[in-house]
Amino acid sequence: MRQEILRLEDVTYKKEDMIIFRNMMLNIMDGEVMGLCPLNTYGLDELLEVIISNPPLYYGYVYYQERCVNSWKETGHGRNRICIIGSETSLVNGLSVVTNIFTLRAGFGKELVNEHILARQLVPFLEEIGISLDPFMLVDNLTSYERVLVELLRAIVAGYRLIIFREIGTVISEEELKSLHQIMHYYTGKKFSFLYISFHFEEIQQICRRAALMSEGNIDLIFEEEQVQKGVSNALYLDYYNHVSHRVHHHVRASGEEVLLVRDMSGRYLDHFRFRVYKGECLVIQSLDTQIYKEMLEILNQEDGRLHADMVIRGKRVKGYASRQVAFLKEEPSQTMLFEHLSVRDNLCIALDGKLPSIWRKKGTQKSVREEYARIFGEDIFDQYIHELTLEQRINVVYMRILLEKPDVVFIVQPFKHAGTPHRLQIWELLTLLLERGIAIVILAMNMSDSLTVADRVIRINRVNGKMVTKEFTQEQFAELPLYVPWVEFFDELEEKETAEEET
Amino acid sequence: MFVCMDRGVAIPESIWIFLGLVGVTVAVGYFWIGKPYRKLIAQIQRFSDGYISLQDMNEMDVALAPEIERMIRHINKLVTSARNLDMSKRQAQYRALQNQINPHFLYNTLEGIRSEAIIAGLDNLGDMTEALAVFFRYTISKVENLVTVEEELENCSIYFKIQQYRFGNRIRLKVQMDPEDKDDILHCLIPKLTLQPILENSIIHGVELKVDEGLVTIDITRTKTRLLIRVTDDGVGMDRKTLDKLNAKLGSKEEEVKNYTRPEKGGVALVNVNNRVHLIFGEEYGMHVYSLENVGTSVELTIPVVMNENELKKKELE
Repeated sequence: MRQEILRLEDVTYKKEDMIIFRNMMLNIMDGEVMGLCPLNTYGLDELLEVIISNPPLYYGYVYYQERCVNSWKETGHGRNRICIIGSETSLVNGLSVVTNIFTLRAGFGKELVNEHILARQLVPFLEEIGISLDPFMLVDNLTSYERVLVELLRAIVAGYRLIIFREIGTVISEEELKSLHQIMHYYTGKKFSFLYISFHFEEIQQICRRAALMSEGNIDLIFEEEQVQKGVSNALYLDYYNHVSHRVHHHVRASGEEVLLVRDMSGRYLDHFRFRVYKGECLVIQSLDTQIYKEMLEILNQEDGRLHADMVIRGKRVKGYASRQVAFLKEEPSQTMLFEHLSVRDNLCIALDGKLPSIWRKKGTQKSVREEYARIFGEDIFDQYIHELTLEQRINVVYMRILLEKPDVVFIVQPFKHAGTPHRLQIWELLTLLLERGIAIVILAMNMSDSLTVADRVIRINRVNGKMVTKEFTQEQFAELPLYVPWVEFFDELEEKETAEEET
Repeated sequence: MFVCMDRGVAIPESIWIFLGLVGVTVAVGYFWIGKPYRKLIAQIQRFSDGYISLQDMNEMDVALAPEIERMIRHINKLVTSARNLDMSKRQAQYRALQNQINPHFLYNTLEGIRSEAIIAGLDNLGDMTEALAVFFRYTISKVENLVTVEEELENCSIYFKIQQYRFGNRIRLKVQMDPEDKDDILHCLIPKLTLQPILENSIIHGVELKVDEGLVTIDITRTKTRLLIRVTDDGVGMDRKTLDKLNAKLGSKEEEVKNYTRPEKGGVALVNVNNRVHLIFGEEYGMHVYSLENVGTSVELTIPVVMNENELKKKELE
């Protein structure tokens, strides 16, 4: 007989007098990997809060391991034994792996800790999932994948029956994701359950037998195994799909002059990696190895302005970003790259003061900038402070800054990360706008997400037997990419159509 | 007696006693008046928003004054008597209809048609008539409140067989349950005519409107305390507005009252099944609908595991 690990029964949740979701029903059985595919982020944080923290409910019941832990009649006490593993670490830096796994958990009552005994206790856990890890290593030195595994082991050791993976595909590489899926399968055999949250149904298809589709804070449909395997992505993102497919059909980008050549990018893992980008071209560099990815980001995001790679822009060697010919957008730039307590106008002036140091004094220039961009982004946001803006407006400001800077090349790290369908569509439009203005884009990613729809070329980079291996795909070769990469099926269909047209 | 402070200023003991009394009064006020008052307000709010029924209000253990409790009981009595009157009216209508139909006359006629069909070599017509006779026998004759899952599934397959004469191979039915729990599941008790209306809904509003072949799946899972029945179809689905409206109807306890006084059109079968489940098993059980346009619909019904009627009576007493 199966056990129900989690059940939300008819839950209505209100926050600040606003109903976030109404009549929510969700259940997860033991030994199950349940997928959750949100079309937008609305209500997602609150849903996780209801699952984990037992906040007061307006109506409904929450059951964990078939026991009512929270209801509208009586608010639950404390948190449920459920953990979330996502892009932020929950490990305590400065402490070893073994300390994080064993001693920093509820119920660990020993006062004298012998790390060697704990390390011996950890060995069977590591052996059963076939990984080797130094138990005494400080967690600061772990790779992203190792960090995820340590968090998973900590949850397993603590006896958490439900573990939530939130957009884990954006944190670890494809190869590591496959290994993680195997480990998850192993634990489902031991009756542990997982809630696997991803914005891409293709990723959910790889691991989940059932999946819930969520939009505007509601669970729209629960997909059973057959439906999950059949794939319903086109129906899910119909507007987005139609929009993008129409544009990709009409997208012809002439390969213009070479604007950037990066050569001799070397480090511990990178070995004389080189690539070139042309004017108005979008190149996606997808790393299948987290170490390489991390190293590449470290080299390209040199905050001291000194690049550890040979970078040639329009035939001239540059030594950093001081020339402002190259721009760099970090992950989630709308949260990390704007000055919160300055107005939008001031944020834009900062972007321009490299080229026009007098921008702060020249009200006329400021006015013309405002007029030019008000047509695209609307008039009302210029005098607002960043912290007053919606996410959509913040994303606009980030890309407006790039448009103002007019660099030859912009490096963008996982632009679609944490974005629901409407924001993905918005980012897609903004990237297309940059390309139309002749700015070359280099997307650095571990998870392809929607990058394929905007890409002209893809370089996949991996480590095989300790050696770096790269493979390049032009747009005509996109159909050769693995099927689980989002949008590959679209290019497959495109290729078939073109072949059919040629034959007729 | 004086209590000495650091700076040598003495505070009379009476002040301490006074402060103690104030503390006790505040605590008593909070636990006996404040907390129950807040609880009562929350309940009245949920009642006005349609989340809980009058009966649930009546069962609550909070009342500020015996008068309020009496008032709620009285309102409940008024509503229940109106409901009972309506129910007895409906029952009388149902009985009259049943008498008009005369089950034996109906079965004999159907049996006659079947024999004629077989003699004429129309085997399909014979089978169809037989299926119809069995379906009517189950629907009209059996008056029990609870039946086994096996009986309900049997009725579903007969209903599906009749529908297949209309749709041919355009519709398929799949019933799945964990083989380990199959015996247990089949012997669980559920309200009569619970599954067939859901199946009918899936066919009529889901796969019938679809151009291609449609599949309806009945999936039953048993846990320690619950029976989870999921009827899924890959039909045309429904838009968000209709879905929200339907789920609000299913979630609202107002419907229990509303339905007896003025029946509404649209989603009535599901709402009725849901109301019966609420009335028999309580508000923690019931139905929820998931749907996505052009992808499909899934109806999930949750009921407690009941193996015999005595168990249910025992639970009611508890």
